[in-house]
Amino acid sequence: MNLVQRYVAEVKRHLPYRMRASVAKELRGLLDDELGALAEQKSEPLQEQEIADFLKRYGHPYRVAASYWPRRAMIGEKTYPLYRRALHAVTVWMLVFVVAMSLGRIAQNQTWGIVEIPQFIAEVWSFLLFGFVAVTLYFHYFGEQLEQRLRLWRWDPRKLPEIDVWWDEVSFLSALFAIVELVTLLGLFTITAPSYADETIRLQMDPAVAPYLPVLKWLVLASLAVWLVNLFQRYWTRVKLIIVLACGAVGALLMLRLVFAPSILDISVNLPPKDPATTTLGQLFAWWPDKPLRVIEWLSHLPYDLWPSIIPIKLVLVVFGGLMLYRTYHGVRAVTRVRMPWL
Amino acid sequence: MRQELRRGMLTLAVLRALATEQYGYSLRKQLNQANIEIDEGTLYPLIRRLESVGLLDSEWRDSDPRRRRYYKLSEEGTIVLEKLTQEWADLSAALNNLAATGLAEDAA
Repeated sequence: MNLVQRYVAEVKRHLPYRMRASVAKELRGLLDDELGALAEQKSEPLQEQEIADFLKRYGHPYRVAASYWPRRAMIGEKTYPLYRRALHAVTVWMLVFVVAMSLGRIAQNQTWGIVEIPQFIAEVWSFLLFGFVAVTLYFHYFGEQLEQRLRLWRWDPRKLPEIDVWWDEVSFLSALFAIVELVTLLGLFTITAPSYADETIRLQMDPAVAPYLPVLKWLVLASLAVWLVNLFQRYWTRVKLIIVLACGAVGALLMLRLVFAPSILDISVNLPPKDPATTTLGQLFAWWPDKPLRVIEWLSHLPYDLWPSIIPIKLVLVVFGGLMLYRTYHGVRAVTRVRMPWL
Repeated sequence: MRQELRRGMLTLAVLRALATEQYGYSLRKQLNQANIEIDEGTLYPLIRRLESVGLLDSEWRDSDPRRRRYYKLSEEGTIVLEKLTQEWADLSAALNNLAATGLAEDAA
Protein backbone atom coordinates (compact mmCIF):
# COMPACT_ATOMS: atom_id res chain seq x y z
CA MET A 1 0.00 0.00 0.00
CA ASN A 2 1.52 3.36 -0.96
CA LEU A 3 2.12 6.26 1.42
CA VAL A 4 -0.86 8.32 0.27
CA GLN A 5 -3.29 5.43 0.79
CA ARG A 6 -1.88 4.80 4.25
CA TYR A 7 -2.10 8.51 5.04
CA VAL A 8 -5.73 8.77 3.93
CA ALA A 9 -6.61 5.61 5.87
CA GLU A 10 -5.07 7.12 9.00
CA VAL A 11 -7.01 10.38 8.55
CA LYS A 12 -10.20 8.31 8.16
CA ARG A 13 -9.58 6.61 11.47
CA HIS A 14 -9.93 9.94 13.30
CA LEU A 15 -13.14 11.02 11.58
CA PRO A 16 -16.78 10.43 12.56
CA TYR A 17 -18.12 7.36 10.78
CA ARG A 18 -20.62 9.22 8.60
CA MET A 19 -17.93 11.55 7.19
CA ARG A 20 -15.24 8.96 6.59
CA ALA A 21 -16.00 7.81 3.06
CA SER A 22 -16.65 11.22 1.57
CA VAL A 23 -13.67 12.96 3.22
CA ALA A 24 -11.34 10.11 2.31
CA LYS A 25 -12.48 10.17 -1.32
CA GLU A 26 -12.05 13.92 -1.55
CA LEU A 27 -8.75 14.00 0.33
CA ARG A 28 -7.36 11.30 -1.95
CA GLY A 29 -8.26 13.38 -5.00
CA LEU A 30 -6.77 16.54 -3.50
CA LEU A 31 -3.51 14.83 -2.53
CA ASP A 32 -3.23 13.29 -6.02
CA ASP A 33 -3.70 16.75 -7.54
CA GLU A 34 -1.07 18.31 -5.26
CA LEU A 35 1.44 15.51 -5.85
CA GLY A 36 0.67 15.50 -9.58
CA ALA A 37 1.45 19.22 -9.74
CA LEU A 38 4.74 18.63 -7.88
CA ALA A 39 5.69 15.85 -10.31
CA GLU A 40 4.83 18.11 -13.24
CA GLN A 41 7.12 20.82 -11.88
CA LYS A 42 9.90 18.25 -11.58
CA SER A 43 9.10 16.61 -14.94
CA GLU A 44 9.57 13.15 -13.46
CA PRO A 45 7.70 10.86 -11.02
CA LEU A 46 8.14 11.69 -7.31
CA GLN A 47 10.36 9.51 -5.11
CA GLU A 48 8.95 8.01 -1.93
CA GLN A 49 11.03 10.44 0.17
CA GLU A 50 9.51 13.42 -1.66
CA ILE A 51 6.00 12.10 -1.08
CA ALA A 52 6.80 11.55 2.58
CA ASP A 53 8.14 15.13 2.86
CA PHE A 54 4.98 16.48 1.23
CA LEU A 55 2.72 14.51 3.59
CA LYS A 56 4.73 15.71 6.56
CA ARG A 57 4.19 19.30 5.42
CA TYR A 58 0.50 18.61 4.84
CA GLY A 59 0.10 17.75 8.52
CA HIS A 60 -0.33 14.88 10.95
CA PRO A 61 -3.35 12.74 10.00
CA TYR A 62 -4.96 13.56 13.33
CA ARG A 63 -4.70 17.30 12.69
CA VAL A 64 -6.02 16.96 9.16
CA ALA A 65 -8.97 14.93 10.46
CA ALA A 66 -9.58 17.50 13.21
CA SER A 67 -9.85 20.28 10.62
CA TYR A 68 -12.74 18.40 8.97
CA TRP A 69 -14.69 17.96 12.19
CA PRO A 70 -17.59 20.32 12.61
CA ARG A 71 -16.68 23.00 15.17
CA ARG A 72 -18.22 22.08 18.47
CA ALA A 73 -18.03 23.21 22.05
CA MET A 74 -19.55 21.56 25.07
CA ILE A 75 -20.84 24.93 26.23
CA GLY A 76 -21.59 27.74 23.80
CA GLU A 77 -19.92 31.14 24.16
CA LYS A 78 -23.25 32.85 24.76
CA THR A 79 -24.26 30.58 27.60
CA TYR A 80 -20.83 30.27 29.25
CA PRO A 81 -21.26 33.01 31.91
CA LEU A 82 -24.63 31.52 32.83
CA TYR A 83 -23.06 28.06 32.98
CA ARG A 84 -20.30 29.29 35.32
CA ARG A 85 -22.87 30.86 37.61
CA ALA A 86 -24.99 27.72 37.68
CA LEU A 87 -21.90 25.63 38.37
CA HIS A 88 -20.94 27.83 41.31
CA ALA A 89 -24.44 27.73 42.76
CA VAL A 90 -24.70 23.95 42.39
CA THR A 91 -21.22 23.50 43.93
CA VAL A 92 -22.20 25.53 46.98
CA TRP A 93 -25.54 23.76 47.44
CA MET A 94 -23.88 20.37 47.06
CA LEU A 95 -21.31 21.33 49.71
CA VAL A 96 -24.02 22.58 52.04
CA PHE A 97 -25.97 19.37 51.48
CA VAL A 98 -22.97 17.08 52.16
CA VAL A 99 -21.96 19.03 55.26
CA ALA A 100 -25.55 18.95 56.57
CA MET A 101 -25.74 15.22 55.83
CA SER A 102 -22.47 14.57 57.69
CA LEU A 103 -23.50 16.71 60.65
CA GLY A 104 -26.78 14.80 60.81
CA ARG A 105 -24.87 11.53 60.85
CA ILE A 106 -22.57 12.79 63.60
CA ALA A 107 -25.54 13.91 65.67
CA GLN A 108 -27.19 10.52 65.17
CA ASN A 109 -24.13 8.37 65.95
CA GLN A 110 -22.54 10.80 68.44
CA THR A 111 -19.12 10.17 66.89
CA TRP A 112 -16.70 12.32 65.05
CA GLY A 113 -13.28 11.13 64.19
CA ILE A 114 -10.53 10.66 61.76
CA VAL A 115 -12.12 7.49 60.32
CA GLU A 116 -15.00 9.57 58.98
CA ILE A 117 -12.81 12.09 57.17
CA PRO A 118 -12.05 9.87 54.11
CA GLN A 119 -15.74 9.05 53.85
CA PHE A 120 -16.57 12.76 54.01
CA ILE A 121 -14.00 13.60 51.32
CA ALA A 122 -15.30 10.80 49.09
CA GLU A 123 -18.86 12.08 49.51
CA VAL A 124 -17.86 15.68 48.74
CA TRP A 125 -15.95 14.54 45.67
CA SER A 126 -18.74 12.35 44.30
CA PHE A 127 -21.44 14.99 44.91
CA LEU A 128 -19.35 17.73 43.29
CA LEU A 129 -18.62 15.48 40.34
CA PHE A 130 -22.30 14.65 39.99
CA GLY A 131 -23.19 18.35 40.12
CA PHE A 132 -20.55 19.22 37.52
CA VAL A 133 -21.72 16.50 35.13
CA ALA A 134 -25.41 17.34 35.58
CA VAL A 135 -24.93 21.09 35.01
CA THR A 136 -22.58 20.58 32.06
CA LEU A 137 -24.91 18.13 30.33
CA TYR A 138 -27.90 20.36 30.93
CA PHE A 139 -26.14 23.38 29.42
CA HIS A 140 -24.78 21.30 26.55
CA TYR A 141 -28.26 20.22 25.47
CA PHE A 142 -30.56 22.97 26.77
CA GLY A 143 -28.26 25.95 27.42
CA GLU A 144 -29.38 27.96 24.41
CA GLN A 145 -33.08 27.41 25.11
CA LEU A 146 -32.46 28.49 28.70
CA GLU A 147 -30.65 31.63 27.55
CA GLN A 148 -33.56 32.50 25.25
CA ARG A 149 -36.11 31.82 27.96
CA LEU A 150 -34.39 34.32 30.25
CA ARG A 151 -35.32 37.03 27.69
CA LEU A 152 -32.19 39.01 28.42
CA TRP A 153 -33.13 41.56 25.76
CA ARG A 154 -36.09 42.66 27.87
CA TRP A 155 -34.08 43.96 30.79
CA ASP A 156 -34.56 47.32 32.43
CA PRO A 157 -31.50 49.22 33.74
CA ARG A 158 -33.68 50.74 36.49
CA LYS A 159 -34.35 47.29 37.90
CA LEU A 160 -30.68 46.44 38.51
CA PRO A 161 -29.92 45.77 42.21
CA GLU A 162 -29.01 48.70 44.43
CA ILE A 163 -25.44 48.65 45.65
CA ASP A 164 -24.67 51.24 48.26
CA VAL A 165 -21.00 50.47 48.74
CA TRP A 166 -18.74 49.86 45.78
CA TRP A 167 -15.85 47.71 46.77
CA ASP A 168 -13.80 45.13 44.96
CA GLU A 169 -16.00 42.42 43.60
CA VAL A 170 -16.07 39.38 45.88
CA SER A 171 -14.45 36.52 43.99
CA PHE A 172 -15.94 33.04 44.25
CA LEU A 173 -12.64 31.60 45.47
CA SER A 174 -12.16 34.16 48.23
CA ALA A 175 -15.73 33.56 49.42
CA LEU A 176 -15.20 29.81 49.37
CA PHE A 177 -11.89 30.14 51.22
CA ALA A 178 -13.48 32.32 53.90
CA ILE A 179 -16.33 29.82 54.31
CA VAL A 180 -13.95 26.88 54.71
CA GLU A 181 -11.91 28.87 57.24
CA LEU A 182 -14.97 29.89 59.25
CA VAL A 183 -16.54 26.41 59.19
CA THR A 184 -13.25 24.99 60.51
CA LEU A 185 -13.20 27.56 63.30
CA LEU A 186 -16.82 26.90 64.12
CA GLY A 187 -16.06 23.18 64.30
CA LEU A 188 -13.11 23.83 66.58
CA PHE A 189 -15.12 26.03 68.95
CA THR A 190 -18.05 23.62 68.94
CA ILE A 191 -16.28 20.31 69.23
CA THR A 192 -13.63 21.25 71.79
CA ALA A 193 -14.91 19.68 75.00
CA PRO A 194 -14.69 21.93 78.10
CA SER A 195 -13.95 18.96 80.34
CA TYR A 196 -13.56 15.21 80.01
CA ALA A 197 -12.09 12.38 82.03
CA ASP A 198 -11.73 8.62 81.76
CA GLU A 199 -9.10 6.06 82.75
CA THR A 200 -6.61 7.16 80.09
CA ILE A 201 -7.13 10.88 79.76
CA ARG A 202 -8.24 13.86 81.80
CA LEU A 203 -8.99 17.09 80.04
CA GLN A 204 -9.91 20.37 81.65
CA MET A 205 -10.44 23.68 79.95
CA ASP A 206 -9.17 26.72 81.81
CA PRO A 207 -12.24 28.27 83.53
CA ALA A 208 -11.06 31.71 82.38
CA VAL A 209 -11.12 30.56 78.75
CA ALA A 210 -14.48 28.76 78.64
CA PRO A 211 -16.70 31.92 78.55
CA TYR A 212 -14.93 33.11 75.38
CA LEU A 213 -16.08 30.12 73.34
CA PRO A 214 -19.80 30.92 72.94
CA VAL A 215 -18.96 34.55 72.03
CA LEU A 216 -16.43 33.41 69.44
CA LYS A 217 -18.94 30.90 68.07
CA TRP A 218 -21.59 33.60 67.49
CA LEU A 219 -19.05 35.94 65.89
CA VAL A 220 -17.95 33.21 63.52
CA LEU A 221 -21.57 32.29 62.76
CA ALA A 222 -22.42 35.89 61.87
CA SER A 223 -19.37 36.20 59.57
CA LEU A 224 -20.23 32.84 58.01
CA ALA A 225 -23.75 34.01 57.21
CA VAL A 226 -22.38 37.08 55.40
CA TRP A 227 -19.90 35.05 53.38
CA LEU A 228 -22.61 32.58 52.39
CA VAL A 229 -24.64 35.51 51.06
CA ASN A 230 -21.49 36.78 49.30
CA LEU A 231 -21.33 33.59 47.31
CA PHE A 232 -24.51 34.62 45.52
CA GLN A 233 -24.31 38.41 45.76
CA ARG A 234 -20.72 39.09 44.83
CA TYR A 235 -20.54 42.63 46.07
CA TRP A 236 -20.41 44.38 49.41
CA THR A 237 -23.15 46.37 51.06
CA ARG A 238 -22.82 48.55 54.16
CA VAL A 239 -24.56 46.01 56.36
CA LYS A 240 -22.38 43.15 55.15
CA LEU A 241 -19.21 45.18 55.61
CA ILE A 242 -20.14 46.31 59.12
CA ILE A 243 -20.92 42.73 60.23
CA VAL A 244 -17.77 41.24 58.76
CA LEU A 245 -15.46 43.99 59.98
CA ALA A 246 -16.91 44.05 63.48
CA CYS A 247 -16.94 40.25 63.86
CA GLY A 248 -13.48 39.97 62.32
CA ALA A 249 -11.93 42.59 64.57
CA VAL A 250 -13.55 41.38 67.81
CA GLY A 251 -13.07 37.70 66.95
CA ALA A 252 -9.42 38.16 66.03
CA LEU A 253 -8.68 40.10 69.21
CA LEU A 254 -10.42 37.49 71.37
CA MET A 255 -8.52 34.66 69.72
CA LEU A 256 -5.21 36.44 70.09
CA ARG A 257 -6.10 37.12 73.75
CA LEU A 258 -6.57 33.36 74.20
CA VAL A 259 -3.16 32.73 72.70
CA PHE A 260 -1.59 34.73 75.51
CA ALA A 261 -3.61 32.96 78.22
CA PRO A 262 -1.37 30.76 80.44
CA SER A 263 -3.20 27.63 79.30
CA ILE A 264 -6.28 26.73 77.31
CA LEU A 265 -6.64 23.02 77.89
CA ASP A 266 -5.00 20.96 80.61
CA ILE A 267 -4.57 17.45 79.31
CA SER A 268 -3.29 14.66 81.55
CA VAL A 269 -2.74 11.31 79.96
CA ASN A 270 -2.11 8.00 81.67
CA LEU A 271 0.42 6.20 79.55
CA PRO A 272 1.24 2.55 79.99
CA PRO A 273 3.44 1.21 81.48
CA LYS A 274 4.72 3.99 83.78
CA ASP A 275 1.72 6.32 83.48
CA PRO A 276 3.69 9.51 83.04
CA ALA A 277 1.62 12.64 82.80
CA THR A 278 1.90 14.47 79.54
CA THR A 279 0.13 17.55 78.35
CA THR A 280 0.71 17.80 74.65
CA LEU A 281 1.09 15.68 71.56
CA GLY A 282 4.68 16.91 71.34
CA GLN A 283 5.41 15.50 74.79
CA LEU A 284 3.91 12.21 73.75
CA PHE A 285 6.40 11.96 70.91
CA ALA A 286 9.16 13.12 73.23
CA TRP A 287 8.30 10.30 75.60
CA TRP A 288 8.45 7.72 72.85
CA PRO A 289 10.70 9.37 70.23
CA ASP A 290 11.70 6.07 68.65
CA LYS A 291 8.26 4.47 68.79
CA PRO A 292 5.80 6.56 66.79
CA LEU A 293 3.68 3.44 66.35
CA ARG A 294 3.07 3.36 70.10
CA VAL A 295 1.87 6.94 69.95
CA ILE A 296 -0.49 6.10 67.10
CA GLU A 297 -1.73 3.10 69.07
CA TRP A 298 -2.36 5.32 72.07
CA LEU A 299 -4.11 7.87 69.90
CA SER A 300 -6.32 5.16 68.48
CA HIS A 301 -7.68 4.55 72.00
CA LEU A 302 -8.56 8.21 72.37
CA PRO A 303 -12.29 8.93 71.89
CA TYR A 304 -12.88 10.60 68.54
CA ASP A 305 -14.56 13.65 69.98
CA LEU A 306 -11.33 14.47 71.82
CA TRP A 307 -9.22 14.59 68.67
CA PRO A 308 -9.62 18.36 68.30
CA SER A 309 -8.29 18.75 71.85
CA ILE A 310 -5.00 17.14 70.92
CA ILE A 311 -4.16 19.52 68.07
CA PRO A 312 -1.93 22.45 69.00
CA ILE A 313 -4.81 24.76 69.73
CA LYS A 314 -2.76 27.91 70.26
CA LEU A 315 -1.13 27.57 66.87
CA VAL A 316 -4.54 27.18 65.25
CA LEU A 317 -5.78 30.27 67.05
CA VAL A 318 -2.77 32.29 65.90
CA VAL A 319 -3.30 31.22 62.27
CA PHE A 320 -7.04 31.85 62.20
CA GLY A 321 -6.87 35.00 64.34
CA GLY A 322 -4.16 36.31 61.99
CA LEU A 323 -6.34 35.54 58.97
CA MET A 324 -9.28 37.37 60.52
CA LEU A 325 -7.11 40.39 61.33
CA TYR A 326 -5.72 40.40 57.81
CA ARG A 327 -9.23 40.32 56.37
CA THR A 328 -10.31 43.15 58.66
CA TYR A 329 -7.27 45.21 57.68
CA HIS A 330 -8.16 44.71 54.01
CA GLY A 331 -11.76 45.69 54.71
CA VAL A 332 -10.75 48.88 56.48
CA ARG A 333 -8.33 49.76 53.69
CA ALA A 334 -11.01 49.21 51.07
CA VAL A 335 -13.50 51.25 53.06
CA THR A 336 -11.11 54.19 53.45
CA ARG A 337 -10.28 54.00 49.77
CA VAL A 338 -13.89 54.48 48.74
CA ARG A 339 -14.25 57.28 51.34
CA MET A 340 -17.49 56.13 52.84
CA PRO A 341 -19.40 59.10 54.27
CA TRP A 342 -20.54 57.30 57.40
CA LEU A 343 -16.99 56.54 58.60
CA MET B 1 -5.51 38.60 15.88
CA ARG B 2 -4.15 38.28 12.36
CA GLN B 3 -5.64 34.79 12.10
CA GLU B 4 -9.09 36.04 13.07
CA LEU B 5 -8.91 38.80 10.48
CA ARG B 6 -7.76 36.34 7.83
CA ARG B 7 -10.43 33.76 8.69
CA GLY B 8 -13.26 36.11 7.78
CA MET B 9 -11.44 37.40 4.72
CA LEU B 10 -10.69 33.89 3.45
CA THR B 11 -14.37 32.95 3.36
CA LEU B 12 -15.06 35.98 1.21
CA ALA B 13 -12.10 35.23 -1.06
CA VAL B 14 -13.16 31.60 -1.53
CA LEU B 15 -16.77 32.55 -2.31
CA ARG B 16 -15.58 35.11 -4.81
CA ALA B 17 -13.17 32.70 -6.50
CA LEU B 18 -15.90 30.06 -6.75
CA ALA B 19 -18.12 32.31 -8.83
CA THR B 20 -16.62 30.15 -11.58
CA GLU B 21 -16.58 26.38 -11.10
CA GLN B 22 -13.34 24.94 -9.75
CA TYR B 23 -11.89 21.89 -8.02
CA GLY B 24 -9.83 22.08 -4.82
CA TYR B 25 -6.34 22.30 -6.22
CA SER B 26 -7.24 24.76 -8.99
CA LEU B 27 -8.90 27.00 -6.41
CA ARG B 28 -5.81 26.98 -4.24
CA LYS B 29 -3.65 27.84 -7.25
CA GLN B 30 -5.92 30.73 -8.17
CA LEU B 31 -5.86 32.11 -4.62
CA ASN B 32 -2.07 31.81 -4.52
CA GLN B 33 -1.78 33.67 -7.82
CA ALA B 34 -3.92 36.41 -6.29
CA ASN B 35 -1.39 36.57 -3.41
CA ILE B 36 -3.80 35.03 -0.93
CA GLU B 37 -1.61 32.54 0.88
CA ILE B 38 -3.65 29.66 2.23
CA ASP B 39 -2.47 26.22 3.14
CA GLU B 40 -4.23 23.05 2.04
CA GLY B 41 -5.17 22.07 5.56
CA THR B 42 -7.21 25.26 5.93
CA LEU B 43 -8.66 25.63 2.46
CA TYR B 44 -10.10 22.18 1.81
CA PRO B 45 -12.00 21.82 5.08
CA LEU B 46 -13.27 25.40 4.59
CA ILE B 47 -14.75 24.52 1.18
CA ARG B 48 -16.49 21.52 2.70
CA ARG B 49 -17.91 23.64 5.50
CA LEU B 50 -19.21 26.22 3.05
CA GLU B 51 -20.77 23.43 1.03
CA SER B 52 -22.37 21.87 4.11
CA VAL B 53 -24.10 25.17 4.99
CA GLY B 54 -25.44 25.47 1.46
CA LEU B 55 -23.27 28.28 0.12
CA LEU B 56 -21.64 26.01 -2.47
CA ASP B 57 -22.87 23.29 -4.81
CA SER B 58 -20.56 20.40 -5.63
CA GLU B 59 -20.31 17.62 -8.16
CA TRP B 60 -17.96 14.66 -8.66
CA ARG B 61 -16.64 14.20 -12.18
CA ASP B 62 -14.81 11.31 -13.76
CA SER B 63 -14.04 13.00 -17.04
CA ASP B 64 -10.62 14.25 -15.87
CA PRO B 65 -7.65 11.92 -15.51
CA ARG B 66 -8.57 11.85 -11.81
CA ARG B 67 -11.90 11.91 -10.01
CA ARG B 68 -12.41 15.46 -8.80
CA ARG B 69 -15.02 17.28 -6.86
CA TYR B 70 -16.00 20.54 -8.50
CA TYR B 71 -17.41 23.38 -6.44
CA LYS B 72 -19.49 26.35 -7.50
CA LEU B 73 -21.35 29.13 -5.75
CA SER B 74 -24.95 28.15 -5.00
CA GLU B 75 -27.89 30.53 -5.27
CA GLU B 76 -27.79 31.17 -1.57
CA GLY B 77 -24.02 31.58 -1.79
CA THR B 78 -24.45 34.29 -4.44
CA ILE B 79 -26.75 36.28 -2.16
CA VAL B 80 -24.36 35.85 0.80
CA LEU B 81 -21.40 36.86 -1.37
CA GLU B 82 -23.15 40.09 -2.39
CA LYS B 83 -23.91 40.93 1.22
CA LEU B 84 -20.40 40.10 2.40
CA THR B 85 -18.83 42.12 -0.42
CA GLN B 86 -20.92 45.14 0.54
CA GLU B 87 -20.00 44.66 4.20
CA TRP B 88 -16.33 44.38 3.29
CA ALA B 89 -16.47 47.57 1.21
CA ASP B 90 -18.20 49.46 4.03
CA LEU B 91 -15.73 48.21 6.63
CA SER B 92 -12.78 49.01 4.43
CA ALA B 93 -14.10 52.53 3.78
CA ALA B 94 -14.72 53.04 7.50
CA LEU B 95 -11.21 51.89 8.38
CA ASN B 96 -9.69 54.16 5.72
CA ASN B 97 -11.70 57.06 7.08
CA LEU B 98 -10.51 56.29 10.57
CA ALA B 99 -6.88 56.16 9.42
CA ALA B 100 -7.31 59.42 7.49
CA THR B 101 -8.84 61.14 10.54
CA GLY B 102 -5.99 59.89 12.71
CA LEU B 103 -3.39 61.19 10.26
CA ALA B 104 -5.12 64.57 10.03
CA GLU B 105 -5.22 64.87 13.85
CA ASP B 106 -1.53 63.93 14.07
CA ALA B 107 -0.66 66.58 11.50
CA ALA B 108 -2.68 69.21 13.41
